[in-house]
Amino acid sequence: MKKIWLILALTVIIVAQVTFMSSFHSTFTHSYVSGTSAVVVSKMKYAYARVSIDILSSHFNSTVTLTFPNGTQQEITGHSYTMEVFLPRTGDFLGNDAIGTIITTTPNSPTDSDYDSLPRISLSSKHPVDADVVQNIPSNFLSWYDNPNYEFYNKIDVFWFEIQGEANIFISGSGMAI
Amino acid sequence: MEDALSSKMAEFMTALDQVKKYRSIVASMPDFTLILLGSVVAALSVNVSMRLSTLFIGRNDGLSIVAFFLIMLLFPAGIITAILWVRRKMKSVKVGQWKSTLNEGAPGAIELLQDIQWDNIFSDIRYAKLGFFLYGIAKILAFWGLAVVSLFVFNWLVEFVLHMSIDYITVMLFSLVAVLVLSRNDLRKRYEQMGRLDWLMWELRWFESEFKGANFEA
Repeated sequence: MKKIWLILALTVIIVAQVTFMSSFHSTFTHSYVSGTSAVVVSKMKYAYARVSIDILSSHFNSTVTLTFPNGTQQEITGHSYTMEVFLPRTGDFLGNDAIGTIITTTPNSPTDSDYDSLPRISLSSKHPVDADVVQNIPSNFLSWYDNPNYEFYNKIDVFWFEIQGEANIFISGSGMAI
Repeated sequence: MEDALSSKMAEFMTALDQVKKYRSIVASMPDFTLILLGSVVAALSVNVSMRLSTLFIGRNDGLSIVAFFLIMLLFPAGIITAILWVRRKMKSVKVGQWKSTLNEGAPGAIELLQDIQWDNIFSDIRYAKLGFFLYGIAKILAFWGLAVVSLFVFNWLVEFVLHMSIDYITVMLFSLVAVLVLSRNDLRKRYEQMGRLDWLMWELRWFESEFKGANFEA
């Protein structure tokens, strides 16, 4: 009889493990960039995310410069450079609000439909972590993000930086929404 | 006449020994299930730990490869261990203890017949049939799981190298068909054995009524 209870307990553990595993998500993107471009990592506030960004210079002599939103610059002189970004969970929204929120917005402008052909920040409860590479960015890139009037301001976190130069960029990320 | 009785009795007792072995399958089914579920829990635990460590500690390619192979090994190891465990239990069933009694000839055969508890034997045959059927189903399901895991790994490799992939439903269906085709001999053997157990049951019913109506003098 004890074995039957043990079987039930193991079955419950398996169901719990499978349910827990459904909270893990991944994202991957690859792009060749030249000129001024941006890497945009976004996530729902209720998710954790870790993203690995590999930047490979196209030419050995070319210089690639990264510029972060706070103005810090980093010059990449080697052939390859890897950085990891961890974005912690910063908030919560529950129930239908969490399930029904689907955000598809161009990083350049969240409202202008002329930008439909550009890469999109695409977030939902089924895809709470996203990574994009946007080419030829304008000077006011992502200025909307800090605007408190933006309807999803309280629901998403965005990390981004500029890249100047020619490079191949590989981004792979994993996240957990819990 | 005496030889015929001994030979018929030896045949009968051998069949009962086989029933005893199949009966032990029912007894070992909880162990079989526990081993399988345990291996699934272990594989999923490694998977969850690997994902958590990648997320909160950082990417570690070496550790990921070790964890990947560990996950791939744990489930097949669980299936093999469970099957070996059932076989071990079957082999540990004591059989042939009647041989020394039967060597005494007709008196030994009659003594064996008198010791038989018919109700228990019929119950054992029913359990043996159930165990044989359940074990067959569990074995097919376990091999199906193994085939699905193997095909997913293969699919992943094909996608990695050739950028092509097979969809999940095809993987599931193909692996089921493959397992059924590869297990056809086992399925046929199982079906025939079930038929034999049915036959044995009817034969014993008849034998029981005959035996109870006869008067033996040892």
